Amino acid sequence: MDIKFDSISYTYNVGTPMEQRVLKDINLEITENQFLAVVGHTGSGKSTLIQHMNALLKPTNGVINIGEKKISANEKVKNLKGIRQKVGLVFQFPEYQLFEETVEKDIMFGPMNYDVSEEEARKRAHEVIKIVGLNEDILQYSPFNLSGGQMRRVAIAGILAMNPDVLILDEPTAGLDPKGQKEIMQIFENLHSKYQKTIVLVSHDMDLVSEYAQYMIVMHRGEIKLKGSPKEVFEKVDLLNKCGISLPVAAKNYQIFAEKFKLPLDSLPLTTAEFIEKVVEVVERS
Amino acid sequence: MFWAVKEMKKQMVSLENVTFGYEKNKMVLQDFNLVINKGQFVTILGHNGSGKSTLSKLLVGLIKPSSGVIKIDEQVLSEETLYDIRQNIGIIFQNPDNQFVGSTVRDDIAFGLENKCVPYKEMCRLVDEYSALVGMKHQLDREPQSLSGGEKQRVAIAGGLALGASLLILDEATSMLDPKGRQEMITLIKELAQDRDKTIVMITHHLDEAVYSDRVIVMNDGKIILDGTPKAVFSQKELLESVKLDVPFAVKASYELEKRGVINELCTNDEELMSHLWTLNLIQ
Repeated sequence: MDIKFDSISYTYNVGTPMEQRVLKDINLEITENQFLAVVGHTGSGKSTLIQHMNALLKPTNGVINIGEKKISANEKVKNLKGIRQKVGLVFQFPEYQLFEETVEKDIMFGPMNYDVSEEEARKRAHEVIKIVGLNEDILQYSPFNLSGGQMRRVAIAGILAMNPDVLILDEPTAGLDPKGQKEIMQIFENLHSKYQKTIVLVSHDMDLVSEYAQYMIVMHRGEIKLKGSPKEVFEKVDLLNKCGISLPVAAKNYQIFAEKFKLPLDSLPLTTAEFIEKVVEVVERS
Repeated sequence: MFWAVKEMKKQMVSLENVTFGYEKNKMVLQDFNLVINKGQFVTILGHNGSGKSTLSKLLVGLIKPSSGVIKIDEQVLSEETLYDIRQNIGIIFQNPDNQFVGSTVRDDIAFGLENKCVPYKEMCRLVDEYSALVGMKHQLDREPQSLSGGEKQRVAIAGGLALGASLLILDEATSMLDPKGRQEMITLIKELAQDRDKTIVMITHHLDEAVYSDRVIVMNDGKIILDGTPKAVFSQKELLESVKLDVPFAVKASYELEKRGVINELCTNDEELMSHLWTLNLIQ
């Protein structure tokens, strides 16, 4: 399922003194099974953008095509429920939304709201709990007796139980320790490669973005300032600076190194291993 | 000699043979010993479940050790002293929204002072002084929903300091902030330790933040496995990785470059790495 943004603008509080334009003429195509990263500093419009992806917000101008459904400013769209089942949105700190007595009931709540039978919902709970790397025993626990990392996985499992095609993740690793971050990113990578899900990742962590995303967009003051593969985007150092985006740590260091050694800044290394290779090459050549 | 005694740094935190467990026969900390001097900026590192948060709860008396002695500012922590000792400690938790109680920045800093029945004039003076210290003096009328996470955390610090806290415990207080907010917090607490003689205990799993502290303590399984300057601790790359901590980029890169014979010393931060590579350039 593709999501296509056609000249989208969005203004909060239209017609009031508080009017604020937060998205300006956004054109974007998210193709099936893409791993897209959305970056931008606080207030750049990222959250508003992703809320358009499953019709939580309707654009002030422009048209969004989500699969077969067309969403535009002035038309009333019926049956948005289908869209929200197909496009799962995992908010920041989703563990705060857990509420049921047991993990199993919490995961079953979503699908049962979409008229899935109890039996089928239970079956899905047992499947998705394994996908997020937890043991089936945990299904009978209270979600409030779990560790922070486990709670986050349960919340994600609840979205997966609705069987979405597209998964939107708003800062999914915030507040986790390095080990937990790696494990949770591995889950998304797995959903992308093994289950062919489309992944939209919102993150402040440029190292995660460069490691996992195939394609990325940089938001600044409600506009898409840059798009391309991480390799392409992270070469536009000056423009990134203006948008308040830092480079992955390896690239940042290589940039300083290159300046000192008066080397051309053509392709920046994105990982530690690439950094080492480039530095060794320079040293051996000189 | 009298002057030598005067020079000695006071102990702000001391734990002697402290043992604690949430369940019987399963101790999180066993015979734990630790001394932190006044004015020190200490980072405690460890992955989830290593016992670092248990340690912070013990220090503020939220939980009681089953044996051993805890002293804060040379006073033994007990039921009788708990109230006084807590006046001396500011604790900042992970989630900025969970600790903002006022409807404006001013109200939030004043909240603790009102509870303590501080006279109005004195209260105004304290709010002004400490909001200025954390860089929020011109934002006293702002409401919580218009503040960033980093600003809320700084207001929380001001609230603790206004009450006279000389020990600040930050329990993963930067983990929900964006990179800018995080950097501002680190700069602020470093100043508080250096210029105001505040003792800082920062619990985190971001190793790159630990670079700025005076002393780094690494915990695993309820035990201290490393204790020293950032440089000494980060040079133990393999040990850190074995307890699932991710070492900073400069350590990783210089370790590999050392193996490849490019440089001859392990670097703990980016500036050091660059200056090593730079000297290399000068030699040629």
